[in-house]
Amino acid sequence: MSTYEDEHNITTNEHRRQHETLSNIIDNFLSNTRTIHQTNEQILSTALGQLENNPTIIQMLESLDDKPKKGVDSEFLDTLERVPISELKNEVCPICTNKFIDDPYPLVVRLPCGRGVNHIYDLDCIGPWLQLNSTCPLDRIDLLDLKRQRKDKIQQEIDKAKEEDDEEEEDDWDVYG
Amino acid sequence: MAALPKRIIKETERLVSDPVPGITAIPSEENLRYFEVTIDGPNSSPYANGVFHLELYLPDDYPMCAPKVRFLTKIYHPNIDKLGRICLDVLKDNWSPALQIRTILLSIQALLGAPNPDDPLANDVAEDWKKDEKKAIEVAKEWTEKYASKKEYSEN
Repeated sequence: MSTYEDEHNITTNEHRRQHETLSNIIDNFLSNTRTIHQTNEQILSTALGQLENNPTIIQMLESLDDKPKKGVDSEFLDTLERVPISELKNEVCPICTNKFIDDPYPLVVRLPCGRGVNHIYDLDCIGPWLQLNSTCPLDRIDLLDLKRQRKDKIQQEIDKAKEEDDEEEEDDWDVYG
Repeated sequence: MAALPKRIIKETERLVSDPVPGITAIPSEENLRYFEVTIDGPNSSPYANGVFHLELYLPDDYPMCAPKVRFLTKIYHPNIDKLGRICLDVLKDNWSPALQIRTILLSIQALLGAPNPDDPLANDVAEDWKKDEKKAIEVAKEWTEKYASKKEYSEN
């Protein structure tokens, strides 16, 4: 009976070598990949090591850390105080520098900076800025901080009122405490 | 290229019609967002009598982000590096869209009058400035004469 090798006019040796070659290739490929991988890893760790000791990089990373300085959401923009057209005279928007009343339908908002200032802008101008950065362009007051402070203040008042209530019940607490 | 925002046109017109004393800013003909700028060194500074050339570029998202400004004239200053890059808060984190080209250029002129070697733009000049301020001021004067005199620039 003729073998597979005879029929195909090839020798077993060759047959085997083919297999060996293929597996060699695979082996080679795998080991090479591993080498490349290792080298990459080495390069990466060396690079990282250098970065760790580089003051500029450290500074950069630190500045990234303390910069969660985010903008406001669209809900915040919706709640900004609107300035009616009857209140507007010759004021200009500090961002586009156009007179508000040059627009037949101006959509003007007042930022809650307080302290008796009148920081008003076109909503179309201040919106994109506040979404990047929650500060008033004129005095750099952080509007999100401001909101938080006001919230805290209200919370304090509530806590204070509660405490006063508790004091009235102090006698009862002594019995159980 | 997108149409030039009205604000940029207005700013440019005012820079030309009502220039800031000691400062010129001329838009390039090919690109109206690119300005050739000169700033005179403040009188009471080591940069007095110098004329410093800068380039200013308004990025696409201006005024939501700051203009990019760089010194073209060599200058010995603790807050300006070899490439002419400027360490100034209003050009980075403290930018506000209520600022304008003219206010930024005024701030840069003020920076020439008040070098701040404690501001961390890592550069040799700041080190020298802190070690020996008198000597650093002398060098700044020499550089001004060498690189920023009106005659010198026109020859180049």
